[in-house]
Amino acid sequence: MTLSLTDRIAELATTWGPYGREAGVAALLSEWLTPLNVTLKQDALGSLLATRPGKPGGKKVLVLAHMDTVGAVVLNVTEKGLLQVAPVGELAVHNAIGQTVLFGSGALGILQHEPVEDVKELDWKKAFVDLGASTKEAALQQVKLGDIGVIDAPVYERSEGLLTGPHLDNRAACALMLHVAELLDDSPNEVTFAFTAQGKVNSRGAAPATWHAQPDLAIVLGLTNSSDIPRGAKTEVKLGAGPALRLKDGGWVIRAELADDVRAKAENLGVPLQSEVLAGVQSEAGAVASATQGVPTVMLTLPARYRGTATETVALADLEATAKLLLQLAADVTVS
Amino acid sequence: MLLERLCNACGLAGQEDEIRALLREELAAHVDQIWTDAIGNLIMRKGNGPTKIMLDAHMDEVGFLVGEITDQGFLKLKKVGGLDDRVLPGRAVWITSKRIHGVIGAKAFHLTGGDERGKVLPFSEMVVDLGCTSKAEVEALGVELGDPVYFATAAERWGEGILKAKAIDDRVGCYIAAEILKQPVPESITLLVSFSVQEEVGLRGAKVSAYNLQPHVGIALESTVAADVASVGSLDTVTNMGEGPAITLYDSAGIPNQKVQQGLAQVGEQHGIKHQFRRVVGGGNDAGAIALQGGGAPVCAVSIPTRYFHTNAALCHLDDVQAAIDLVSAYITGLAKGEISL
Amino acid sequence: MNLATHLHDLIARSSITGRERGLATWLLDSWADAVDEAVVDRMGSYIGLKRGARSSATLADLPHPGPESKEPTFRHPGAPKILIATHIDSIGLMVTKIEKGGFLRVTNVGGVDRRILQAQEVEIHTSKRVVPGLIGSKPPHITSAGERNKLLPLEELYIDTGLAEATVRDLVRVGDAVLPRMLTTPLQNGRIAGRYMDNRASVAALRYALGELKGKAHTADLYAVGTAGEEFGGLSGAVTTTYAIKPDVAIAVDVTFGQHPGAEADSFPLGGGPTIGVGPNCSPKLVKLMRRTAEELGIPYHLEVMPGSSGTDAWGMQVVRGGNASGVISIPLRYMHTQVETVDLKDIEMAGRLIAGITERLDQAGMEDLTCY
Repeated sequence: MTLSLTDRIAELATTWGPYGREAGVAALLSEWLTPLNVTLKQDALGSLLATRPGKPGGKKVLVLAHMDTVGAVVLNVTEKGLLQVAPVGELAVHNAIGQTVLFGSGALGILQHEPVEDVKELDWKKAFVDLGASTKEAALQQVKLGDIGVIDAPVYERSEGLLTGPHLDNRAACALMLHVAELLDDSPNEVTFAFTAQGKVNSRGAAPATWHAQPDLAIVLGLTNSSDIPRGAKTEVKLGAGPALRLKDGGWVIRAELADDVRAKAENLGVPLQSEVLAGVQSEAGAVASATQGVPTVMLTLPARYRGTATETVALADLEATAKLLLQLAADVTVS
Repeated sequence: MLLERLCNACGLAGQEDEIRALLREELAAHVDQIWTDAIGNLIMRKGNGPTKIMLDAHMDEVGFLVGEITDQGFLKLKKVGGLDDRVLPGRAVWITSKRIHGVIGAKAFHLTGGDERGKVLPFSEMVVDLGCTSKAEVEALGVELGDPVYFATAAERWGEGILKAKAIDDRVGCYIAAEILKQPVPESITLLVSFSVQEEVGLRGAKVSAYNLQPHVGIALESTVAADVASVGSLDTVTNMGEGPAITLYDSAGIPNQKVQQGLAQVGEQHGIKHQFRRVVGGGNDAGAIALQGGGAPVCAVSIPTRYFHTNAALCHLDDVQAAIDLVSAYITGLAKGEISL
Repeated sequence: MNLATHLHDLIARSSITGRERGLATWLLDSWADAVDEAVVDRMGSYIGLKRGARSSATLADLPHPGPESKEPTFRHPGAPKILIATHIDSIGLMVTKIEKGGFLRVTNVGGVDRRILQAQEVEIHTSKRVVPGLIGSKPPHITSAGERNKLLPLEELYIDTGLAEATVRDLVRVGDAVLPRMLTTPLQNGRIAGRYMDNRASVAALRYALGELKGKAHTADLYAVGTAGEEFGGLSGAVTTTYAIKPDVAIAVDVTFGQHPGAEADSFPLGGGPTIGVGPNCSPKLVKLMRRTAEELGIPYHLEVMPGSSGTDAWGMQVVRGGNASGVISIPLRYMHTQVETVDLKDIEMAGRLIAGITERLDQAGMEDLTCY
């Protein structure tokens, strides 16, 4: 029996696997991918590549999403057994305070902060993790320097088809990729699904994964901040209104002919497609596009609220719409 | 000592000729093959086994280029690599490979006024005085735009077991690699050492080396900040001099490969070799670049705690240097014996 | 070929980063008689090949096959390969949002100078037609004195097309490119001002070099590349074409700062010849070859000291796929990243002659010397 998309997302999002420590997530994905007609490979950075064979004359398509999450890395332990930590990826201290954090060793701690009089004083340098250990030695029995803690919280479905929990960024995209891998039949093209490691800082897994796949076309999946909350993104992207076609971000701009192609295909399929142009945000798209002799790259994003918190929220309808468009893009490569 | 000779030699990014020559001469008899690539990395191979280990140490140091020769015969400089303006006034420097002497002066304290006294002299106002009185005189010495300018300090022993020198970053890495090349290499290993160019301007040489060599595992041998000094709390020292080489936990380039990181710590514990972890998030080195070339490679960095690096007078502990040689050698042996996995 | 006309033709075409295919395709036609073969690659870069005298190289062989040889190679099979990169993209604006009333919000693609935006006339390149617009802002009468001395952030500026909102929504899509409306203005002494002299001046110089080489036998294969994606982000056409071609020598031709009152240091006089870069991005032996060539051809030049990144395509190219001997040639240009960028045609010509001269001098023996350390 296959799990529902929602169950898949929930299981992925609650599996420990921060930046640089993705082995557990890769193992879970491998287990799910094994029954499919794919060849599995893991590269030196820890990215998992699942390649579905194509037919003679077919093109090579890479579908890519990073599978790591943000977290907090242990740099020092005080004599009293508290852990000094630094953020790994874009985890804001105010979103982490009060959360339970899970380490790779299985140890649980709570992330807390020195008392402050003004919230402006909040700073990672004043934050710490309390493992319930009273000495340095006792703490080091539970975790080692360099271990990473991640927010430990449940994923649950809410009304109007919304899904809420930590680490939906980017595990919702990973679940979506898996969903598409299952649905994809009879494509003439070789399709590689790359679940990349080390995406959260400098998008490090993307270029080596692209180098392995040597694709003619790449489709990068991610989450994007929606504009429909107070002080939301300065775009027109709304939750539940379909995937967003990223036209530009802080490190990359789509090739115009590709944007036209994707928009036309979405329109033909009747898939709602939003557009977004971002200023500062970085993504894996830039690293993919500039790998090897250059890769025509599309980035589709799932609108999300409250990214980087324990209650990231996405709409299941957006995942379904994205899957439909992805299937078409992977099967029908029209750009050379 | 080779380390002292390496530190005294001069080589800015793109002008590493002296270092290349010194290493070639020192190591020719100890290795199986030596070559240079298209951008000047010096590569040495020893052994011919199936497992390819790449050690990287960069040859370049921080310093300056002659940016302008003024009509009065002073030189304006451009920085190559990261340099702190506060440490520059009052330094003696060498110009070009001919080692012409110069000094970076500063207007007499007596002539400063207002809040000038409490402020760092802006780099744009610093000039090098060669003693020349005209542009023509400077040019007659053979100095031209783009010539290298180095801190003019000689290596010497300091305190107890400490070396004081310029360019410890990263001649200490070159030295560690050189000493490892002098040892026998296990049969199952191909040891590839890249004495890399241009680290200080953006990890450039290592990118090319790693792409060409495609190693199974890479270790960058580096110099890193030690802040175990007065007025720094014990949790903020990053690394401590004398407590062994530092294994990277996490830096601005990203995260080292967990197996390599743990493997290094494992051999350290197994053989009682002093080591510590680099306890900070910022900074980066060639390891970050090596990991991403081609299809990628598992990589970690081992760094020598260094006080005052990127200045004319940095300090490192020679026991840490020896421990780094021992640690990396033990890692290579451990890998060959199958005690360490990749 | 008339240099001024060619430059004007290059500038007239829209080619902001990500949308270079139009200009690249135009080059296929315009440069057809100056190269042996040409293609526009999948990233939108133009690649022209002018073969060496005894070479049988062809663009059909690209990309250079991998995987890499594991052993060091000391000899270069075939003719030396020289890649000259001139980026064909330019900075610009991009529509982010259509506001009530049909006003357009924009963001920058590349390093746009905010100081020159207010009241600038622009053209919006929509999928249907080019729409003229004006960058507006809240009028000074209702702004405070303090506000008037401050530059508005880009997100507070907007474009006014004078069209009804419904018409705007019909024509314009998020992601459409916005360019300055000015083309070129001839000035005295063979100087010329206009948008996008950065880097069409260098593209013109490369074309001039191809003209100089016409009918001449040279040993090296010359890859004349118009690179996409230099001005912004992770799309560097210089890196991707270098990967495909795997050249022995890679030279970027770009623009550098021209001297004018208020910009003396690190700037170069217009009409005084191109600059030759020195620093880590520039192979010392290639610099020697460039200087010798300039001296033999009587081309004046200045050395441009580049202590770190050259800020040009050469920075990326140098370390691609095993590396190459790289260098930088620049044409002085005043008022960079404005729509009145000003160059001297003589500098373009001299840069072109220098490129041609280097190509002619690069033979097998010279190549081996260049990569010997």
